[in-house]
Amino acid sequence: MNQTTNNIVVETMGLGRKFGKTQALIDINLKLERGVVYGLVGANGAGKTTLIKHLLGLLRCQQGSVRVFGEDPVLKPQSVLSHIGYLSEERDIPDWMSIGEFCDYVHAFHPAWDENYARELLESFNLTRDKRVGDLSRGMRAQLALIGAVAHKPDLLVLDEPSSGLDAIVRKDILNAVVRTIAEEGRTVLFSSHLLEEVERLSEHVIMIQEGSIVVDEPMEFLGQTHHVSEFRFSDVQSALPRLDAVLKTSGEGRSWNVIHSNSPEQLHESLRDLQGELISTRNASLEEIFIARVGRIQQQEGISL
Amino acid sequence: MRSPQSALLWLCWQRARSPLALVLSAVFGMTTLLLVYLDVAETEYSKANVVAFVTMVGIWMLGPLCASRLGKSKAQGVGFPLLIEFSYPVSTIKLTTIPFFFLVTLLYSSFAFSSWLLCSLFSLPALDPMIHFIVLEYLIIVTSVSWATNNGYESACFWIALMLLFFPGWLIPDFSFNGHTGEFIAGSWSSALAPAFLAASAFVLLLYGVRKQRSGEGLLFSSGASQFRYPGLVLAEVFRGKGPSCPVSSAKDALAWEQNQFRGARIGVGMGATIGVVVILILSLLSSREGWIGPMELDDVMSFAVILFCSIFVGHLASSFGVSYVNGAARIGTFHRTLPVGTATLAAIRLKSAMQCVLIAGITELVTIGLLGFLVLDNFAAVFAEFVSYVNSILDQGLLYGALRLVLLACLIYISIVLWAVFISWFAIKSRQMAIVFSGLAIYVLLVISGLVVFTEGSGFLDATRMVGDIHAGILSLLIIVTAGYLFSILIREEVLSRENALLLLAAGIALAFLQFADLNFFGALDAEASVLNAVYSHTLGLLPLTVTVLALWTQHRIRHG
Repeated sequence: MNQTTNNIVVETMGLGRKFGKTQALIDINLKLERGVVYGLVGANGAGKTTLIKHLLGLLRCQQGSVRVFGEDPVLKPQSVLSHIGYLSEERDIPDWMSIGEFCDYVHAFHPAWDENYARELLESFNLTRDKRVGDLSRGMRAQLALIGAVAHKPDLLVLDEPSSGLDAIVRKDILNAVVRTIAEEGRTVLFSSHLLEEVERLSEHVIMIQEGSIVVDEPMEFLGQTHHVSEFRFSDVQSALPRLDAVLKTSGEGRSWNVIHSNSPEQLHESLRDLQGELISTRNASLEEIFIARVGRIQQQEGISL
Repeated sequence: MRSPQSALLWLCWQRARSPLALVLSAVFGMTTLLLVYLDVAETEYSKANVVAFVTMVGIWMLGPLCASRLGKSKAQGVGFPLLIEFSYPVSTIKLTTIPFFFLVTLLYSSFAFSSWLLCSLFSLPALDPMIHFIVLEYLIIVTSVSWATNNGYESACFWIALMLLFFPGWLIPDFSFNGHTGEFIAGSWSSALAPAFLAASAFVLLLYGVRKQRSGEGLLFSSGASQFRYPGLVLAEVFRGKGPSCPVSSAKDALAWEQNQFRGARIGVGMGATIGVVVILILSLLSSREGWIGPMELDDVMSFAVILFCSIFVGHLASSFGVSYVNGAARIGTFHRTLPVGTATLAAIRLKSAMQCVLIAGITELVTIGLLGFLVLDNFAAVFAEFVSYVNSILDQGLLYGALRLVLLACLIYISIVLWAVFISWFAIKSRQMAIVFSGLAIYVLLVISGLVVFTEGSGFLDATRMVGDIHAGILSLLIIVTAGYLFSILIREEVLSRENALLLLAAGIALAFLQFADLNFFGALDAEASVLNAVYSHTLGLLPLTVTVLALWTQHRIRHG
C-alpha cells in the first residue's frame, strides 16, 4: 500500500463526471485526512453518491483523478477496497445467505475481521446467525450491512445515507456503532446523509455539494463560528434588503428581518448602517440553516423559484 | 394523453419497444440468414415453414420478455405487471384489457408482418392460416395465465394444467409436422373449437384474477404466498441443500463457495437429471401422438435435449457477471463490486463455476436420457445404436482425434456460455443501445440479401451470396483478431491482467487455436473447396476462446467500474 506521508487518505483533483448531458460532478478537488469524520451533505441529485462511487472505484474518472490511500481505486480495487468499509444506501446483501454465512463471507475478504466485535454487534442488534438475510426487515438489513462494513476495522468507513428509511431506534443503534468506530484512533469516516442534525452531531468537517460542485469544505467548528443568524430592526419599512456577498438568506417583512450571513454580525451591521438597522440578536447558524441558505442562494442565482 | 386509455397505451408502448425491437431484429436476421443458407445448401426443407418456425420462435421469446417488461415495478415474477397502476382511478376491466390487447395485438402483428415480409421477399407462399391461429391462441393463453395470479403455486398449477391439456391435443388444433421435410399439415378447423374455448376461458380467468390481485388476494391461496422464480434458479435452490459453511480462509475460497451455491457440481447433477427426466417424459408423450411422423431418431432426441437444456440454463447463466433483475429493472449491486478482490479473479471464478455446472449437467442429462430411454421409449435401442455408431465413427479415427473433438466441443460450450453471459449482461445494462445495434444488424442483413435478390435477378444469386458470405467471413476474422488485441491492451493498461497472467492467457489461447488448426489441416475438417477468406475464417475461429475470455474480463471490468 502506497500510503502518503502527509496523512491524506483520499484526494481528488479536478474530478469531473457527465451522465449524458448532465454534469454530475464538476472539478471536485478534495482532500480527506486520516482520523477525521467528514459529513457529506447536499440536495437530492447534488452528486454525493456519484462522488462516493468514484472513491470506491465504482465509476472511473472521466476528468481529473482520484487517489485513495495513494492509489487509483479503479486500477487497484483489491488493494484499496481492503482498507474500506462501505455501507451502501441500497443495503445490498445477498438475500439467500444466512446472517452467519454473510459474516463468514465478508470475513474471508478481510483478514483483519474482528470476530468478537462482529459477535458483539450481532448480539446488540439481536441478530441470530441462522436467520436468512431475505427474511430480515429493512432496519435489520441495515444493521447487518453495517456489521459487514465495520467489523474489519477499516481505515476508511464510507456511509452512504446510513439512516435512510430507518426508524429512530435503529438509527440510534447504527449511529452508536459508527461512533464506536470513529472512536478508534486514526479511522476516517465519510458520512453522507440528508439528516443534517446527525451530520452536525457526528462530523468534524462538512463538505457541502450542490449541482456537482463543492460549495462548502470547512471544519464544522469553523462553519458554526462563521455563519450566523442575526435579527435586525429597521427604522423604516423595508420591502427587501440589499444584496450583499456575505448574506446567504434574508427573511422577514416591514421593519423586522432575519439574516443568515457568513461574516461577523458587526460587519453586517456596518453594511446595513445606511438603512439604519439595529442588531437585535445574533446566534450561530445550525448546519440545516446554512444548508438551506446556501442551496437556496444557488437556486435563486439560477432563477429557480423556491 | 387525454384519457386513461391513451395514457396506459403510451405506457405499454414505452416499456415494450426495446425488447420488441431486439427480438424482431433477431427474427428477421435469423430467418433471412437461414433461408439463404438453405438455398446455398440446397436442402429440401420447406422455406415457408422455416419462416413460420423462426418467426414463431421469435414471438414466443418475445411474449414473456414483453409481458414482464410491461411492469417496471414487478420483479421477475408472475402476476399482473402494472402494479403501481392499481392505485389509479381506472376500472379493473380497462386496466386489464388495455395492456392485454396491446400486448397480444403487438406481438401478433409483429409475427404476421415479419412472416409476410419474409415470404414476400423470398417469393414464398403465404403461411397456413392455422399457424396464425396457433400463434394468436398461444399469445392469449400465455399472457392470461402469466398475469392471472401472483401466487407461485397457483401459477405452477396453471402451467401443469396447460401441459396436461396439450398432450391429448386439446390445447392446440390438430396438425402434423414432418421433422424431416419441415412440412406443416393443418388438421380440420373443427379441432380448433376446444383451443378457442380454452383461450376465451383463460381470458375470463385473467379478468377475475386481476380483480383479486387488485384487492390483495390470490385466486385460491393468499396473494403472492410464493413468488414465481425462473425454473433454473428454483432447481438450483432445490439442489443447493445444506452444503458446507462458507470458508473464511481466503477470498478465492469464499467466492468459489458462493458460486457453488448456484452453479456447483451437486446442482449440475440435480439439474441435469431433472432435465433428462423431463426430456424423456416429453418424448414419450409426443411419440404417442399422431402428429409425430416417422420413427424417432438421434437428432430428435438431441434436439429436445439441447433445447430444454438451453432454455433452463439461459436464465441460470444470465447473472454470471453480477447483473440481476430487481423490481423489473436491471441492477448491478454494489456488494460484489466493492469486495476487495481483483476483477480477473472474480470473473475467472464465476466463469469456471458456470462451465463446471454446465458440463456436469450436460453429462448427467445424457446419462439420464440414456438410462431412462431404454425403459420408457419404444425404439430407443435404435436411437442409442445411432449414438454409439456416431461415437465409433469418431473413435475409428484414433483416440487422439476423439480427444481433440472433445476439447473442441468443450471450447464450443465455453464460447457459448461466455457469449451468452456477456450478451445478457450488456442487454440488461444498455437495453436501448443493444436494441439499436441488433435492429441495425438485422436491417443490414435484410438490405444485403434484398440487394442480392434484386441485382442478380435470380440468376447468379448463389454465387453472389457465396461471395458476400466470404467477404463477411473475412470481416469476422478481422473482428475476432482486432477485438482480442484491443481488449487485451485495455486489460493490461488498466491492470486487470498482470503481464504474467496475460502471457499465460495468451499461451492457452494459442494452444487452443493450434487445436483448431490441427483439426482443419491434419484431420481434414477444412472444406477443400473453401475460398481463401473462408479458410482464414475457419482458422481464426480457433482464436475465439481467447477473444471471448478477454471479452468476459473486459465486461466484468466495465460492469464493476462503470
